[in-house]
Amino acid sequence: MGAYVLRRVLLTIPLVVAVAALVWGLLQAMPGDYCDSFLDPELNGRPEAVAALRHALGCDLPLGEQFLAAMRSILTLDFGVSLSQRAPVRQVLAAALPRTLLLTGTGFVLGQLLAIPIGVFQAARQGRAADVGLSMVTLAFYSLPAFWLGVLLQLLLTLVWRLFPTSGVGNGGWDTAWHLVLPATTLALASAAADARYVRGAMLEVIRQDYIRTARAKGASEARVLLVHALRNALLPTVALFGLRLPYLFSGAVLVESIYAWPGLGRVLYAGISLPDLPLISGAFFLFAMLVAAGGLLADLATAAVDPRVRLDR
Amino acid sequence: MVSATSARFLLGSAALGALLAGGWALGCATDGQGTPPAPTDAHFPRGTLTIASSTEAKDLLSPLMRSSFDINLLDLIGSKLLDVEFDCGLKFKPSYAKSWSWSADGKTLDIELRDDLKWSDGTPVSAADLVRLFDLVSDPKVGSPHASEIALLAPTARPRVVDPTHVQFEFTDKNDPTAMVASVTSFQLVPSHLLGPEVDRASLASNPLNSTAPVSSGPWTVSAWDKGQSLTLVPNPYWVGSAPKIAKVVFKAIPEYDTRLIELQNGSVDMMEGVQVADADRLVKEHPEIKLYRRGWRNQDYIGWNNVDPKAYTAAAAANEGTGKRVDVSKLPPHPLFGDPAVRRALSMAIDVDRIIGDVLTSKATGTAYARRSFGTITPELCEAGNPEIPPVPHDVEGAKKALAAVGWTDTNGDGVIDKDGVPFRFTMIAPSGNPRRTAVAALVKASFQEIGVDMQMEWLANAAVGDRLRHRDFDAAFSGWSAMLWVDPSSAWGKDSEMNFISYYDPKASALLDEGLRTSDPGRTRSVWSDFQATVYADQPYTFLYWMDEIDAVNARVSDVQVDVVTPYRHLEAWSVPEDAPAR
Repeated sequence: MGAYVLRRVLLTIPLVVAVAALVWGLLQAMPGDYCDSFLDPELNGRPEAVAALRHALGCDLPLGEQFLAAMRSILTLDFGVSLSQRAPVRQVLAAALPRTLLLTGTGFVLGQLLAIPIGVFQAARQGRAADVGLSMVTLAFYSLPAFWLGVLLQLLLTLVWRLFPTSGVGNGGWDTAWHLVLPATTLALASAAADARYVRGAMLEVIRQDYIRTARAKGASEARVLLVHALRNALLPTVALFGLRLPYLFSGAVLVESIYAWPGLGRVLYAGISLPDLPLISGAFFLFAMLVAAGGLLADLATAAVDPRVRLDR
Repeated sequence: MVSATSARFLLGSAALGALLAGGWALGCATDGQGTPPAPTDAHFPRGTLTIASSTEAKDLLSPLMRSSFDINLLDLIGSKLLDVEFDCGLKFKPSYAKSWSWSADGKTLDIELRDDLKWSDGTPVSAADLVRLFDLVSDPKVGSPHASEIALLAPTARPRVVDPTHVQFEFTDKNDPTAMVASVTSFQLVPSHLLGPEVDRASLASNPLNSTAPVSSGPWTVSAWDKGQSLTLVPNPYWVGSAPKIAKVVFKAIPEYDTRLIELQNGSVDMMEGVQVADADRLVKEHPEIKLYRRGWRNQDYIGWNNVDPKAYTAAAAANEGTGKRVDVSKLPPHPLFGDPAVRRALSMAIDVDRIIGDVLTSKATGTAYARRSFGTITPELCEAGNPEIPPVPHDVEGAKKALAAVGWTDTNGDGVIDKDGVPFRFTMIAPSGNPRRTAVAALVKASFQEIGVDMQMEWLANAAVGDRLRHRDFDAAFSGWSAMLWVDPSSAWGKDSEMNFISYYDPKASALLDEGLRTSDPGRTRSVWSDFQATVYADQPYTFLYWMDEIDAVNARVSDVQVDVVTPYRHLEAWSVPEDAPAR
């Protein structure tokens, strides 16, 4: 197991470097001068200020040296100063990251708490009205844009029925938990709809296996058969799904954080794009990519932990 | 005039807006012992006022302020030499300056300063704060967007301190006195005791006094600034003017319009700006607890026609790179479609502006129009500066077709699109995305052009991208907007080498009138010159000026003594009040 973990971690290093190079390459490929895009647009027409900042950014160096300098900066998480937040990008991201992790983490857990029972229930009722009905409902939620779903929840639960706060992050503790309900639910509903279909499919695969028939033949109750014998094995693919789900959660967070004025990475990125604030955008992109890579790594390790075949299968 | 499409174009209005709000009466006195004066009214301050803001505060040192939100905030927490109120024009009132007078030659402004103002940390305000302010604004390392606004000042008198309560500003030329006074009174003081001469100017934007922990010299001070969430003001204990009646003002950053509107309706916030007309109708009908206020004619929408060939402009700009020279637009070839004033006028004739106002900007419930036709860049609020004699371009589809045919544009191949020398009249219009009003208006304009055989496609871009294209003159036509200055200085919008003359308009007669208007100090003559200038420009239709809009602000009725005006949505905020036991939020 230790060797597997080490190999998997080592494989992540070239990925990080590749993502850093990709971030730099994408910025270079944008229309206009790469260095100009890092300057405050307000400096246009003030050559002295522009020249000083271009020098500070290393824009007067040959392209190769610029690339190496940029890689050094990105890999040390030194993205410069945010044009929109007036603070080092690293500091801005560090403040926003815990809030996004709280939101996406809660959204993921809530999503699984919804998806797993729904998927199991549908599998147990395969082909019946309840299965068909839930399939339609989950498909509808899966099709709804997060933005629309968020506004709908706000209208219903903060205006028609004034049950929850409409926006913001609250003052910590229970107040923050209270503010978290709607944005996390918005994220959860969108992901639960898709995950429930995965769980349903996995359960249908498992309940046709011989050992399930054996369990039933031994007289185990249907609930025990489904929840103990079938679900445990059906959930193995959903552990791997965790890694795949992260990009959707983070991209969904960009919109959800904006709707609910939740001051996380997504909101920061959204504000950065509006300016545009290239130092912040590049930092946020890199961080998102790293979070997704870390999620994938964790999912692989978790899969290996619960399924010995993975680490043996080199 | 400034464009709403980019912060860059807020240069003029930034200074203006900073100049404009405020206007509180000074009169009380401190105890002179360096401790805050005791409140004089036991009932106040009380309660919390929550205001939804679409953006966050960014720069709270006045040399760096850009956005209208920062400007409005600075007016609450800062002191300027003079305050301004607006009644057909700017009316200056004493603030840090007790009085002011002009020298006989009209080039030296002599100002007597108060000696009883204090910063929110208890340090007395002094002339050194004024000196440091202009030092920072004029320093290229700071990169202040307002550097050009003090260009009329002699470098040795920015300002000249005669004694601790007496300063002079010296101008290189005599110009319109309103513009001259405005150019030196637009900025809030900076704390020289915290911003010494050795302060790192290149990174001033990251200085805590700008970005996290400002000190104030106005009636309010920042008690909390939680980035991404809210900024909270409380009364400045050292303020010597009228004491605020509200204990806490919270500006809650909510980027989404729909979320702001929901929070207004469910009572989570007390105020939001920029309510759309359709929503205003619904608020009137369904929410009697919400009152609507009209700000006045400050913003307009236009269609800008690039007057010169964009490729020629790009080539000229490239040739000038590094020389510091501006492109002389008078020497560039005209735009192949829009270079001819007759074509631009015909396009304007095709658009039914009155129908647009009726369909998009008029209340369906009350019939109230929240827009009026525009005839140029001088706002109708400047009631003595406009030219009411200008006849509007009529809506006349047949007339437009004839006018285009007269200059060679006819449909020779029967494909429904007029052409000339084998080139169809086809173009792309850029516009900032995400604005439902502009989406609706663009559809009406497109349909109007189809009627005369002109094929227009829309290209919706991010706000910043539109600003960038405008700055580089990289467009054929643009549908965007202006926010008006509240004094008459058309040079930024119309000067032939002005960076903001992004349609590259040049007309010898208009240029001569512009120069004369800026030099003339006789009010009667000035009025006449600006009147001719507006008529000359309007006849050329470099823009199709569409409509001025009246912004609607909505405030919960629990807030008393609310005043909004064309200058600021928070006029005399210190006089507003809310009940003591505000609902828990």
